Amino acid sequence: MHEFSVAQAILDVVLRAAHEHGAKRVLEVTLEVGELSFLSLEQLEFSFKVLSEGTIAEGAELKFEVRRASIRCLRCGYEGEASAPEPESHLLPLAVQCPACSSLETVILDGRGCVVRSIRAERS
Amino acid sequence: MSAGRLRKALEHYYEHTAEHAEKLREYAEMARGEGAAGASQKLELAAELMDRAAEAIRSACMSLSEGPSRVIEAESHEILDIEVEESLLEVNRRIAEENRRLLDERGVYVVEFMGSIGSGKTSLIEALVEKLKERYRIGYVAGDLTTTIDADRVGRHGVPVVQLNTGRECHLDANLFRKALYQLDLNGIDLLLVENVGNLICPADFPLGSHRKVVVVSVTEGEHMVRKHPIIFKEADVAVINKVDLAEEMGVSPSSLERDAKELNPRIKVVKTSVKTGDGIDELVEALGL
Repeated sequence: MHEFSVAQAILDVVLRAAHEHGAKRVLEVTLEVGELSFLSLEQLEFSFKVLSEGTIAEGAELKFEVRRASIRCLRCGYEGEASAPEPESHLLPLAVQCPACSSLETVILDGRGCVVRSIRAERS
Repeated sequence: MSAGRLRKALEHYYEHTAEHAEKLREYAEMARGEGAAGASQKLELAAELMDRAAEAIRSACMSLSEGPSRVIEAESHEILDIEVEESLLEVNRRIAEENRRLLDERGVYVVEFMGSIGSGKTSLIEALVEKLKERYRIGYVAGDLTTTIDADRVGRHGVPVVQLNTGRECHLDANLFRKALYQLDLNGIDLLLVENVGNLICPADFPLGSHRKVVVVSVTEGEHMVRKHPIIFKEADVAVINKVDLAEEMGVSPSSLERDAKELNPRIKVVKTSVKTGDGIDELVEALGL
């Protein structure tokens, strides 16, 4: 359940940003989640809901933007987007497979992160 | 007229008023085009008054809201859009880099073990401690949700041990690991063996700052263990295929697990071990550069 600790980190970031800008209530949080990040969005949403209770972020809506993975192939030199994995993929190897030559000898360049992009809040 | 119906009527009126204001602005523009500056100015003023009328109707409308459940839309000037752009896993990565710097300063070499529960991480570490304790001053950090079973086992070999109980968490993170480092006498050790929580998924997202990463799978976990966890194998330096003495009985081929690991990560060193028979322990020591 590492969504719980990630949700806590998100909440910390959100509350800090909200206080810095003098917001009284957070309405919306936009997150960018890498498709290879191992984060389950549903669990993240649930954890955030539980953790934010009693804070000014209670009831805020989480909006997700999925960041596509990109890879470099060590065999053919392809560099770019990885093949699209199934949602909540049980076929993860496909996501790290080179779409050009099907090799699994790839390096992941992007798509493993989780970024709090922005928040929308009400001014006090 | 009930408050609800009144509000409905006013909403309608508000919309019309706002539309009229817009129309008046268009006429003002046209008048200006015709060279009638005075008329244009008057029409602008009318449009402005119409805007204010629309705003007043809207405001009246909102104060007629029924019941507490109606969400009052905040006006646009009361909404803040705040750019944050803060990467969460990046924070862990930064702490991991700090850990690494601290360890390098103190001359401590860290080997991290990852693998499922029951893959044999602790047994392998015990075997390594026995093999290496004359040559290195060894420390051990055990990650576990709640128990101290592993820490007690390794501690019996006479090395300093720190137990990190994560409680609900499925992995160690760089911050927890840093706390463990504070509890150890880093000047008194030169090799630190770290056992992550028994899990092949989550530790992949949270580097700790170790020098070498070892992934342990055993033949008892079945033939798909490597392909199902591609990311952790991509990042590991050494893959251990453990319990090879049971391979035949399990009907699982260590070579096919090896092939899978090499396919995902051509630079990975693969070592086949059995802690029970002692096979492969020397090779593991060599693969770790110890």
